[in-house]
Amino acid sequence: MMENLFHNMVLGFSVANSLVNLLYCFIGVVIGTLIGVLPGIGPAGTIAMLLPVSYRMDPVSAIIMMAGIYYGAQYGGSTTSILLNIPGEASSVVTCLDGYQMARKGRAGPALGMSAFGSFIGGTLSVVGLMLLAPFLVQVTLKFGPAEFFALMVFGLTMIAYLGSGSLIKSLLMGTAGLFISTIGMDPVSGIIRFTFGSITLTDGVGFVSVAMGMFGLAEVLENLEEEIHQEVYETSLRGLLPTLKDWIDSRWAILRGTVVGFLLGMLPGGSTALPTFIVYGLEKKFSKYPEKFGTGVIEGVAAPETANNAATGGAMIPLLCLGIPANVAMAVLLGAFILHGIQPGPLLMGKYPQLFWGTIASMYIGNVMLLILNLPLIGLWVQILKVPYRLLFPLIMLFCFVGSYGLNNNAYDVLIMIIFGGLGYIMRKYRYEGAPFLLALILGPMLETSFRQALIIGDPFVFFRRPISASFLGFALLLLILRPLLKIIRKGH
Amino acid sequence: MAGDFFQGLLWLCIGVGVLFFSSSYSMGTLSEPGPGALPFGLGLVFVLLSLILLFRSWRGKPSEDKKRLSFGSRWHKIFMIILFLALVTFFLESLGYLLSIFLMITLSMLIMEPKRWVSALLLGSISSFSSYVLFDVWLKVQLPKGLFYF
Repeated sequence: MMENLFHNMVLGFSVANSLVNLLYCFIGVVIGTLIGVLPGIGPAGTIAMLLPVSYRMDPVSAIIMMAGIYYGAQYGGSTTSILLNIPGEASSVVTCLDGYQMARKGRAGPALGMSAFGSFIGGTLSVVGLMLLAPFLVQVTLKFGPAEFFALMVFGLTMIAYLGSGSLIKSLLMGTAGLFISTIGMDPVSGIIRFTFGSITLTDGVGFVSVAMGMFGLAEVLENLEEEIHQEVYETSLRGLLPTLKDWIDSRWAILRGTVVGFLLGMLPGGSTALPTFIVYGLEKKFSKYPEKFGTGVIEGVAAPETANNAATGGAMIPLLCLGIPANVAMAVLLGAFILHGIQPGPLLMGKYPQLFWGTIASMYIGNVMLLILNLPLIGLWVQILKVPYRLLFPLIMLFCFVGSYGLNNNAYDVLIMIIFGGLGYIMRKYRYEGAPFLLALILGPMLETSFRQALIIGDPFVFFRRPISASFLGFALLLLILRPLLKIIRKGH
Repeated sequence: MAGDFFQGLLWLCIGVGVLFFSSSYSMGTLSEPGPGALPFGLGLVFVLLSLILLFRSWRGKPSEDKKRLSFGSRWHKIFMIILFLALVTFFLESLGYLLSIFLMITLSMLIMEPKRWVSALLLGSISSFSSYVLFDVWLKVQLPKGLFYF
């Protein structure tokens, strides 16, 4: 096994070290840092916008670049949290608590430095985890039949709805809506055209890329526009980025725990990169000798979440690469990138496209080194970019959404779909409906329906409950659905 | 919460609509479900969830949402931008890329900041032209040519 791994990683690095792929990896992590630094545009929207551009690229380069955007964004997010008290990404909300306080005490440098180092350690170790775990998982999932995949997808979608921040019923409604929209167009099993009402454009279905761009690109822009944002960079000297020895000693356990928790939660469907940051912050507070000081600018409060959100990126790649099931929205869009290139991620990916599989993993090691360099010596550059006012920035993001959705099939209907879902996404945000369950259901819909019907054709109506793996996934899903109401009833009883 | 009530009603209508339209497709049998089976099931889920939402608002339960719904102070501008974007898209094929993007950027900036028309015009022309070079000439994304061949 170890020998195999060595062989595979040699292959991976030989792919990732080609000049073209190094360049795309670099472009990816630069874009990732950029959108991480800029509030109001996240990795999911960005990857969606760049899908049409990646059309003509080699699939390996395209995936390497897009993965770079994803984990790169986790580095950039801390910058605004620390300097502006505005999180650049959802996963850097917690970093504001102690990061901004450190900046106010004149310790912005070590805070930024520690988050870069923490990110690097968490990011790199999670790639190690990905590299070691993926082959084992593939061995298991190769035995999965349609019943198991169906149950796994149901569990995944329920988990995403459950872990969402809003109301469970609203999340479930969004998931159901996503599944329904995914049935528009040609039925994957029988070929019958459904719910198009005579529209030729809808025959191919509602393109999830346009939906992703609308809901996570345009809608975010619109939401940011509705109030005037006054961005003021905290004027502070950025000298002395290197944390002191005491900072390191204070943060060592935070970084370690951040890595483990981030990686494990990153794998979970719906785990995202934001959830582990909240959890590790709470953990550090609990383990700390001075919990009362959290929120006043302690370095652990920066190191833990910034490590965790990067460790989550390696974890999140596992379900995508080994099962073909995305754990979060950004991974869903990345799944879209695979599909655009005619590659179906899943248990067969590693065996069928070893260069893509191991090349991407190897590129993540290289990308993390690039990011450390980009985010330590060059941090001043990113701070300068923050001074670009949003009123000049938003038209450019809209332009990318526009070109991105047009470039998909060279027609204006995809742009229209993007705008419709942008508007819907904006209203949804106002009424606290989450976009994540909708988009993941939309992308998993055809797979879910196909495996559901295949499983029934092969087996009998009770096949899902007779096979142990699928039965336990469905059982977990059911448990998640009744857990909250059940707890409420129990609490009332006492 | 009145808001939850209307949302529940809206979802109930959607659910009934889905049930109605999906019943026109074959349901198939239990061992070989047809194209109508999953959509019909989804319609049932819609109805069930919307009934829970309605029931809870009827019982006067406070909404699960932590923050109250609030549109920002400039929300009417947002809706103007959405409408305007849709309008540009509608005429995209006849206007051509350069003109549509110029209009889109300049006007949406003007909607947000009417007084800054110089920067709106400048950014509109620079970004439409440079993005045309970037996407059409360099990255070879086929952009709409329109009536004026650009």
